[in-house]
Amino acid sequence: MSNKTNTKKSKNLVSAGVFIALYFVVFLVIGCCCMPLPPLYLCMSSLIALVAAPVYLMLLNKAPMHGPVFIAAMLPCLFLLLQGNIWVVAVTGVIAGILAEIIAGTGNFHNHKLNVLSYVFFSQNLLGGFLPIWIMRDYYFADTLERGMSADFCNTLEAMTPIWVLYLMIAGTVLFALIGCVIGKRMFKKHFEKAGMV
Amino acid sequence: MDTREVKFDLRTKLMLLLVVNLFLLLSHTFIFELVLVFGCLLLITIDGQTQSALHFLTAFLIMLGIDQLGTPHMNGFAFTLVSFLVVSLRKFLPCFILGKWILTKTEVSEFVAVMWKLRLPQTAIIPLSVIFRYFPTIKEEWTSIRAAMKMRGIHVSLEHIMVPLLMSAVNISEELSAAALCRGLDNPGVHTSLVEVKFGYHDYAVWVITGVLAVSALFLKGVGIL
Repeated sequence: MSNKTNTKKSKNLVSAGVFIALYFVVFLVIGCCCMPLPPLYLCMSSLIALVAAPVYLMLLNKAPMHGPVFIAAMLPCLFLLLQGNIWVVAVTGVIAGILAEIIAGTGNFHNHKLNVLSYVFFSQNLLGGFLPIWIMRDYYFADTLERGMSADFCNTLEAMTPIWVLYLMIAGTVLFALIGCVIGKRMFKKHFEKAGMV
Repeated sequence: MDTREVKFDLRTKLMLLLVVNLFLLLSHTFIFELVLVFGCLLLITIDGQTQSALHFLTAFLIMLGIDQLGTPHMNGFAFTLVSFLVVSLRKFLPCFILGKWILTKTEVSEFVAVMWKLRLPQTAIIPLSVIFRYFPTIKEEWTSIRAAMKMRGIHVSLEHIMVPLLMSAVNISEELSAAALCRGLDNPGVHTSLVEVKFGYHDYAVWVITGVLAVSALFLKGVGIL
Protein backbone atom coordinates (compact mmCIF):
# COMPACT_ATOMS: atom_id res chain seq x y z
CA MET A 1 0.00 0.00 0.00
CA SER A 2 1.37 3.39 -0.91
CA ASN A 3 1.94 5.79 1.92
CA LYS A 4 -0.57 8.32 0.65
CA THR A 5 -3.56 5.99 0.73
CA ASN A 6 -2.42 4.81 4.13
CA THR A 7 -2.41 8.40 5.41
CA LYS A 8 -5.92 8.93 4.08
CA LYS A 9 -7.08 5.69 5.62
CA SER A 10 -5.66 6.57 9.03
CA LYS A 11 -7.30 9.98 8.86
CA ASN A 12 -10.67 8.46 8.04
CA LEU A 13 -10.31 5.95 10.84
CA VAL A 14 -9.66 8.69 13.40
CA SER A 15 -12.79 10.57 12.26
CA ALA A 16 -14.72 7.31 12.38
CA GLY A 17 -13.70 6.82 16.01
CA VAL A 18 -15.01 10.24 16.96
CA PHE A 19 -18.41 9.70 15.34
CA ILE A 20 -18.78 6.16 16.66
CA ALA A 21 -18.17 7.56 20.14
CA LEU A 22 -20.83 10.18 19.53
CA TYR A 23 -23.28 7.51 18.34
CA PHE A 24 -22.53 5.44 21.42
CA VAL A 25 -23.22 8.41 23.70
CA VAL A 26 -26.57 9.02 21.98
CA PHE A 27 -27.39 5.36 22.55
CA LEU A 28 -26.37 5.55 26.23
CA VAL A 29 -28.31 8.72 27.00
CA ILE A 30 -31.53 7.58 25.31
CA GLY A 31 -31.12 4.07 26.69
CA CYS A 32 -30.78 5.30 30.27
CA CYS A 33 -33.87 7.51 29.89
CA CYS A 34 -35.98 4.71 28.40
CA MET A 35 -34.96 1.69 30.46
CA PRO A 36 -37.13 1.95 33.59
CA LEU A 37 -40.55 2.50 31.93
CA PRO A 38 -42.08 -0.35 29.88
CA PRO A 39 -43.81 1.81 27.21
CA LEU A 40 -40.70 3.91 26.68
CA TYR A 41 -38.54 0.80 26.76
CA LEU A 42 -40.26 -0.47 23.64
CA CYS A 43 -39.77 2.89 21.90
CA MET A 44 -36.02 2.88 22.61
CA SER A 45 -34.74 1.70 19.24
CA SER A 46 -37.05 4.07 17.33
CA LEU A 47 -35.94 7.05 19.38
CA ILE A 48 -32.29 6.18 18.92
CA ALA A 49 -32.88 5.78 15.17
CA LEU A 50 -34.38 9.26 15.07
CA VAL A 51 -31.66 11.06 17.00
CA ALA A 52 -28.60 9.22 15.71
CA ALA A 53 -29.36 9.71 11.99
CA PRO A 54 -27.29 12.91 11.56
CA VAL A 55 -24.39 11.25 13.36
CA TYR A 56 -24.56 8.23 11.06
CA LEU A 57 -24.72 10.35 7.90
CA MET A 58 -21.75 12.35 9.15
CA LEU A 59 -19.87 9.11 9.87
CA LEU A 60 -20.40 7.88 6.30
CA ASN A 61 -19.46 11.28 4.97
CA LYS A 62 -16.22 11.58 6.93
CA ALA A 63 -15.15 7.94 6.85
CA PRO A 64 -16.31 6.42 3.54
CA MET A 65 -14.82 2.95 4.03
CA HIS A 66 -15.61 -0.53 5.25
CA GLY A 67 -15.20 -1.26 8.95
CA PRO A 68 -16.42 1.71 10.99
CA VAL A 69 -20.12 1.04 10.27
CA PHE A 70 -19.74 -2.49 11.55
CA ILE A 71 -17.97 -1.32 14.71
CA ALA A 72 -20.67 1.30 15.29
CA ALA A 73 -23.39 -1.32 14.97
CA MET A 74 -21.63 -3.79 17.25
CA LEU A 75 -20.52 -1.50 20.07
CA PRO A 76 -23.96 -0.91 21.69
CA CYS A 77 -24.77 -4.59 21.25
CA LEU A 78 -21.60 -5.65 23.03
CA PHE A 79 -22.42 -3.17 25.77
CA LEU A 80 -25.90 -4.67 26.17
CA LEU A 81 -24.35 -8.12 26.20
CA LEU A 82 -22.05 -7.06 29.04
CA GLN A 83 -25.10 -5.71 30.84
CA GLY A 84 -26.51 -9.22 30.87
CA ASN A 85 -28.75 -9.24 27.81
CA ILE A 86 -29.45 -12.53 26.04
CA TRP A 87 -26.96 -13.40 23.26
CA VAL A 88 -29.48 -12.72 20.47
CA VAL A 89 -28.53 -9.05 20.67
CA ALA A 90 -25.05 -9.77 19.32
CA VAL A 91 -26.45 -11.75 16.38
CA THR A 92 -28.75 -8.97 15.20
CA GLY A 93 -25.90 -6.51 15.72
CA VAL A 94 -23.65 -8.49 13.37
CA ILE A 95 -26.39 -8.94 10.75
CA ALA A 96 -27.44 -5.28 10.83
CA GLY A 97 -23.82 -4.13 10.71
CA ILE A 98 -22.88 -6.31 7.73
CA LEU A 99 -26.04 -5.46 5.75
CA ALA A 100 -25.51 -1.74 6.37
CA GLU A 101 -21.87 -2.07 5.25
CA ILE A 102 -22.78 -3.87 2.02
CA ILE A 103 -25.61 -1.50 1.08
CA ALA A 104 -23.63 1.68 1.77
CA GLY A 105 -20.61 0.07 0.09
CA THR A 106 -22.41 -0.53 -3.23
CA GLY A 107 -22.90 3.23 -3.50
CA ASN A 108 -19.29 3.86 -2.46
CA PHE A 109 -20.66 5.54 0.69
CA HIS A 110 -21.54 8.66 -1.32
CA ASN A 111 -24.94 7.74 -2.71
CA HIS A 112 -27.43 9.44 -0.39
CA LYS A 113 -30.35 7.11 -1.16
CA LEU A 114 -28.29 3.99 -0.51
CA ASN A 115 -26.89 5.56 2.66
CA VAL A 116 -30.41 6.15 3.95
CA LEU A 117 -31.34 2.56 3.09
CA SER A 118 -28.25 1.31 4.90
CA TYR A 119 -29.20 3.40 7.93
CA VAL A 120 -32.62 1.74 7.98
CA PHE A 121 -30.91 -1.65 8.26
CA PHE A 122 -28.25 -0.32 10.61
CA SER A 123 -30.82 0.97 13.09
CA GLN A 124 -32.25 -2.52 13.53
CA ASN A 125 -29.06 -3.47 15.40
CA LEU A 126 -30.73 -3.16 18.80
CA LEU A 127 -33.66 -5.35 17.79
CA GLY A 128 -31.94 -8.35 19.36
CA GLY A 129 -32.40 -6.79 22.79
CA PHE A 130 -36.17 -7.03 22.32
CA LEU A 131 -36.56 -10.08 20.09
CA PRO A 132 -36.37 -12.58 23.00
CA ILE A 133 -39.57 -11.04 24.40
CA TRP A 134 -41.35 -12.89 21.58
CA ILE A 135 -39.18 -15.74 20.36
CA MET A 136 -38.12 -16.96 23.84
CA ARG A 137 -41.03 -15.58 25.83
CA ASP A 138 -40.97 -17.79 28.94
CA TYR A 139 -37.21 -17.76 29.29
CA TYR A 140 -37.05 -14.02 28.81
CA PHE A 141 -39.48 -13.17 31.58
CA ALA A 142 -37.97 -15.65 34.01
CA ASP A 143 -34.53 -14.21 33.24
CA THR A 144 -35.66 -10.59 33.54
CA LEU A 145 -37.29 -11.31 36.88
CA GLU A 146 -34.19 -13.03 38.15
CA ARG A 147 -31.97 -10.17 36.99
CA GLY A 148 -33.69 -7.99 39.54
CA MET A 149 -36.39 -6.23 37.53
CA SER A 150 -39.55 -5.92 39.62
CA ALA A 151 -42.47 -8.25 39.04
CA ASP A 152 -44.55 -5.17 38.19
CA PHE A 153 -42.23 -4.31 35.32
CA CYS A 154 -42.44 -7.85 33.95
CA ASN A 155 -46.22 -8.04 34.22
CA THR A 156 -46.71 -4.69 32.52
CA LEU A 157 -44.26 -5.67 29.81
CA GLU A 158 -45.94 -9.02 29.29
CA ALA A 159 -49.39 -7.45 29.05
CA MET A 160 -48.11 -4.84 26.61
CA THR A 161 -46.47 -7.17 24.14
CA PRO A 162 -48.74 -9.19 21.88
CA ILE A 163 -46.95 -10.28 18.70
CA TRP A 164 -48.11 -7.32 16.58
CA VAL A 165 -46.07 -5.02 18.82
CA LEU A 166 -42.93 -6.59 17.36
CA TYR A 167 -43.98 -5.68 13.82
CA LEU A 168 -44.98 -2.25 15.03
CA MET A 169 -41.56 -1.84 16.62
CA ILE A 170 -39.70 -2.79 13.44
CA ALA A 171 -41.95 -0.56 11.34
CA GLY A 172 -41.57 2.25 13.87
CA THR A 173 -37.79 1.99 13.80
CA VAL A 174 -37.79 2.06 9.98
CA LEU A 175 -40.11 5.06 9.92
CA PHE A 176 -38.15 6.98 12.54
CA ALA A 177 -34.87 6.14 10.81
CA LEU A 178 -36.28 7.66 7.60
CA ILE A 179 -37.56 10.76 9.42
CA GLY A 180 -34.19 11.06 11.14
CA CYS A 181 -32.43 10.96 7.77
CA VAL A 182 -34.71 13.69 6.40
CA ILE A 183 -33.96 15.85 9.44
CA GLY A 184 -30.27 15.03 9.12
CA LYS A 185 -30.23 15.99 5.45
CA ARG A 186 -31.89 19.30 6.29
CA MET A 187 -29.43 19.90 9.09
CA PHE A 188 -26.59 19.26 6.63
CA LYS A 189 -28.05 21.72 4.11
CA LYS A 190 -28.76 24.39 6.69
CA HIS A 191 -25.53 24.23 8.69
CA PHE A 192 -22.72 22.01 7.54
CA GLU A 193 -22.73 22.58 3.79
CA LYS A 194 -22.83 26.32 4.40
CA ALA A 195 -19.87 26.01 6.74
CA GLY A 196 -18.06 23.93 4.11
CA MET A 197 -17.68 20.93 6.37
CA VAL A 198 -19.34 18.30 4.21
CA MET B 1 6.44 -3.82 48.72
CA ASP B 2 4.91 -0.39 48.35
CA THR B 3 1.29 -0.97 47.37
CA ARG B 4 1.27 1.96 44.95
CA GLU B 5 3.86 0.24 42.82
CA VAL B 6 1.44 -2.54 41.92
CA LYS B 7 0.17 -2.08 38.39
CA PHE B 8 -2.12 -4.53 36.69
CA ASP B 9 -1.94 -5.41 33.04
CA LEU B 10 -4.85 -4.18 30.93
CA ARG B 11 -5.42 -7.71 29.66
CA THR B 12 -5.98 -8.85 33.24
CA LYS B 13 -8.52 -6.09 33.75
CA LEU B 14 -10.39 -6.90 30.56
CA MET B 15 -10.38 -10.60 31.41
CA LEU B 16 -11.79 -9.75 34.86
CA LEU B 17 -14.55 -7.63 33.33
CA LEU B 18 -15.57 -10.48 31.04
CA VAL B 19 -15.37 -13.20 33.68
CA VAL B 20 -17.20 -11.18 36.32
CA ASN B 21 -19.97 -10.64 33.79
CA LEU B 22 -20.23 -14.35 33.15
CA PHE B 23 -20.27 -14.93 36.91
CA LEU B 24 -23.11 -12.45 37.31
CA LEU B 25 -25.12 -14.31 34.68
CA LEU B 26 -24.23 -17.68 36.16
CA SER B 27 -25.61 -17.13 39.60
CA HIS B 28 -27.80 -14.69 41.47
CA THR B 29 -27.13 -15.90 45.02
CA PHE B 30 -26.42 -13.26 47.60
CA ILE B 31 -23.21 -14.78 48.99
CA PHE B 32 -21.72 -14.98 45.52
CA GLU B 33 -22.60 -11.34 44.94
CA LEU B 34 -20.83 -10.38 48.18
CA VAL B 35 -17.71 -12.31 47.13
CA LEU B 36 -17.63 -10.54 43.76
CA VAL B 37 -18.21 -7.04 45.14
CA PHE B 38 -15.60 -7.39 47.85
CA GLY B 39 -13.14 -9.04 45.50
CA CYS B 40 -13.40 -6.11 43.10
CA LEU B 41 -13.15 -3.59 45.94
CA LEU B 42 -10.03 -5.33 47.23
CA LEU B 43 -8.46 -5.17 43.78
CA ILE B 44 -8.96 -1.45 43.30
CA THR B 45 -7.73 -0.83 46.85
CA ILE B 46 -4.52 -2.69 45.99
CA ASP B 47 -4.22 -0.47 42.94
CA GLY B 48 -4.30 2.60 45.20
CA GLN B 49 -7.88 3.71 44.69
CA THR B 50 -8.93 3.53 48.34
CA GLN B 51 -11.25 6.52 48.14
CA SER B 52 -13.15 5.25 45.15
CA ALA B 53 -13.44 1.85 46.86
CA LEU B 54 -14.97 3.51 49.92
CA HIS B 55 -17.49 5.36 47.74
CA PHE B 56 -18.53 2.13 46.06
CA LEU B 57 -18.81 0.36 49.42
CA THR B 58 -21.11 3.08 50.79
CA ALA B 59 -23.23 3.00 47.65
CA PHE B 60 -23.50 -0.78 47.88
CA LEU B 61 -24.59 -0.68 51.53
CA ILE B 62 -27.16 2.05 50.90
CA MET B 63 -28.65 0.18 47.95
CA LEU B 64 -28.72 -3.03 49.96
CA GLY B 65 -30.45 -1.19 52.80
CA ILE B 66 -33.13 0.29 50.55
CA ASP B 67 -33.80 -3.09 49.03
CA GLN B 68 -33.88 -5.06 52.28
CA LEU B 69 -35.73 -2.58 54.50
CA GLY B 70 -38.00 -0.96 51.96
CA THR B 71 -39.40 -3.85 49.94
CA PRO B 72 -41.68 -5.41 52.59
CA HIS B 73 -43.23 -2.10 53.66
CA MET B 74 -43.69 -0.10 50.52
CA ASN B 75 -45.28 -0.50 47.15
CA GLY B 76 -46.75 1.67 44.46
CA PHE B 77 -45.43 3.04 41.22
CA ALA B 78 -42.76 5.40 42.56
CA PHE B 79 -41.23 2.75 44.73
CA THR B 80 -41.24 0.24 41.88
CA LEU B 81 -39.17 2.68 39.87
CA VAL B 82 -36.73 3.29 42.71
CA SER B 83 -36.34 -0.38 43.57
CA PHE B 84 -35.86 -1.24 39.91
CA LEU B 85 -33.00 1.24 39.65
CA VAL B 86 -31.47 0.20 42.97
CA VAL B 87 -31.59 -3.53 42.31
CA SER B 88 -30.34 -3.42 38.74
CA LEU B 89 -27.52 -1.06 39.70
CA ARG B 90 -26.55 -3.26 42.62
CA LYS B 91 -26.57 -6.44 40.55
CA PHE B 92 -24.06 -4.97 38.16
CA LEU B 93 -22.00 -3.06 40.69
CA PRO B 94 -18.92 -5.30 40.21
CA CYS B 95 -18.97 -4.41 36.51
CA PHE B 96 -19.26 -0.73 37.29
CA ILE B 97 -16.35 -0.93 39.72
CA LEU B 98 -14.16 -2.67 37.14
CA GLY B 99 -15.35 -0.40 34.34
CA LYS B 100 -14.47 2.75 36.28
CA TRP B 101 -11.14 1.22 37.22
CA ILE B 102 -10.29 0.52 33.60
CA LEU B 103 -11.40 3.96 32.44
CA THR B 104 -9.54 5.93 35.10
CA LYS B 105 -6.36 3.92 35.42
CA THR B 106 -5.59 3.09 31.79
CA GLU B 107 -3.62 5.42 29.58
CA VAL B 108 -4.60 5.51 25.93
CA SER B 109 -1.05 4.52 24.98
CA GLU B 110 -1.30 1.39 27.09
CA PHE B 111 -4.66 0.58 25.53
CA VAL B 112 -3.19 0.91 22.03
CA ALA B 113 -0.12 -1.14 22.93
CA VAL B 114 -2.29 -3.96 24.23
CA MET B 115 -4.40 -3.94 21.07
CA TRP B 116 -1.28 -4.17 18.91
CA LYS B 117 -0.15 -7.07 21.02
CA LEU B 118 -3.50 -8.79 20.59
CA ARG B 119 -2.96 -8.46 16.81
CA LEU B 120 -6.22 -6.68 16.07
CA PRO B 121 -6.43 -5.17 12.55
CA GLN B 122 -5.58 -1.49 12.21
CA THR B 123 -9.15 -0.78 11.04
CA ALA B 124 -10.29 -1.74 14.52
CA ILE B 125 -7.41 -0.35 16.61
CA ILE B 126 -7.56 3.26 15.49
CA PRO B 127 -11.31 3.88 15.91
CA LEU B 128 -11.40 2.03 19.24
CA SER B 129 -8.53 4.02 20.72
CA VAL B 130 -10.08 7.27 19.50
CA ILE B 131 -13.41 6.29 21.10
CA PHE B 132 -11.57 5.58 24.34
CA ARG B 133 -9.88 8.98 24.20
CA TYR B 134 -12.96 10.93 23.05
CA PHE B 135 -15.51 10.15 25.80
CA PRO B 136 -14.18 12.68 28.34
CA THR B 137 -14.02 15.27 25.56
CA ILE B 138 -17.71 14.82 24.74
CA LYS B 139 -18.53 15.60 28.34
CA GLU B 140 -16.44 18.76 28.24
CA GLU B 141 -18.00 19.85 24.96
CA TRP B 142 -21.45 19.17 26.35
CA THR B 143 -20.79 21.41 29.37
CA SER B 144 -19.59 24.26 27.18
CA ILE B 145 -22.52 23.88 24.78
CA ARG B 146 -24.98 23.99 27.67
CA ALA B 147 -23.24 27.06 29.09
CA ALA B 148 -23.37 28.82 25.73
CA MET B 149 -27.05 27.93 25.31
CA LYS B 150 -27.90 29.27 28.76
CA MET B 151 -26.00 32.47 28.15
CA ARG B 152 -27.94 33.18 24.96
CA GLY B 153 -31.26 31.91 26.33
CA ILE B 154 -31.69 29.08 23.81
CA HIS B 155 -34.06 26.24 24.67
CA VAL B 156 -33.12 22.60 24.41
CA SER B 157 -33.98 21.02 21.07
CA LEU B 158 -32.55 18.34 18.86
CA GLU B 159 -31.08 20.83 16.41
CA HIS B 160 -29.58 23.07 19.08
CA ILE B 161 -27.73 20.16 20.61
CA MET B 162 -26.78 18.01 17.62
CA VAL B 163 -25.46 20.79 15.39
CA PRO B 164 -22.86 22.16 17.82
CA LEU B 165 -21.93 18.65 18.93
CA LEU B 166 -21.36 17.52 15.34
CA MET B 167 -19.51 20.74 14.50
CA SER B 168 -17.12 20.26 17.40
CA ALA B 169 -16.80 16.57 16.55
CA VAL B 170 -15.74 17.39 12.99
CA ASN B 171 -13.17 19.91 14.21
CA ILE B 172 -11.83 17.63 16.90
CA SER B 173 -11.55 14.69 14.49
CA GLU B 174 -9.46 16.83 12.15
CA GLU B 175 -7.19 18.01 14.95
CA LEU B 176 -6.84 14.49 16.34
CA SER B 177 -5.92 13.00 12.99
CA ALA B 178 -3.37 15.77 12.36
CA ALA B 179 -1.82 15.07 15.75
CA ALA B 180 -1.83 11.32 15.16
CA LEU B 181 -0.27 11.65 11.69
CA CYS B 182 2.51 13.79 13.17
CA ARG B 183 3.29 10.88 15.43
CA GLY B 184 3.47 8.49 12.51
CA LEU B 185 0.14 6.74 12.75
CA ASP B 186 0.24 6.05 9.00
CA ASN B 187 3.56 4.27 9.16
CA PRO B 188 2.93 0.97 7.38
CA GLY B 189 5.56 -0.93 9.40
CA VAL B 190 5.43 -2.36 12.89
CA HIS B 191 4.81 0.34 15.48
CA THR B 192 6.99 0.64 18.55
CA SER B 193 5.68 1.63 21.92
CA LEU B 194 7.08 3.27 25.03
CA VAL B 195 4.67 1.34 27.19
CA GLU B 196 5.78 -2.21 27.76
CA VAL B 197 2.97 -4.70 27.97
CA LYS B 198 4.03 -7.44 30.31
CA PHE B 199 2.49 -9.68 32.93
CA GLY B 200 3.72 -9.25 36.51
CA TYR B 201 3.45 -11.63 39.46
CA HIS B 202 0.23 -10.03 40.67
CA ASP B 203 -1.28 -10.50 37.20
CA TYR B 204 -0.56 -14.21 37.34
CA ALA B 205 -1.98 -14.29 40.88
CA VAL B 206 -5.23 -12.66 39.73
CA TRP B 207 -5.53 -15.09 36.79
CA VAL B 208 -5.00 -18.09 39.06
CA ILE B 209 -7.46 -16.86 41.71
CA THR B 210 -10.08 -16.12 39.06
CA GLY B 211 -9.53 -19.56 37.55
CA VAL B 212 -9.96 -21.28 40.91
CA LEU B 213 -13.06 -19.21 41.60
CA ALA B 214 -14.51 -20.08 38.21
CA VAL B 215 -13.89 -23.80 38.62
CA SER B 216 -15.34 -23.88 42.12
CA ALA B 217 -18.35 -21.80 41.05
CA LEU B 218 -19.04 -24.16 38.17
CA PHE B 219 -18.60 -27.14 40.47
CA LEU B 220 -20.97 -25.71 43.10
CA LYS B 221 -23.46 -24.88 40.37
CA GLY B 222 -23.23 -28.43 39.08
CA VAL B 223 -23.83 -29.84 42.54
CA GLY B 224 -26.74 -27.47 42.88
CA ILE B 225 -25.69 -25.44 45.90
CA LEU B 226 -25.13 -22.10 44.19
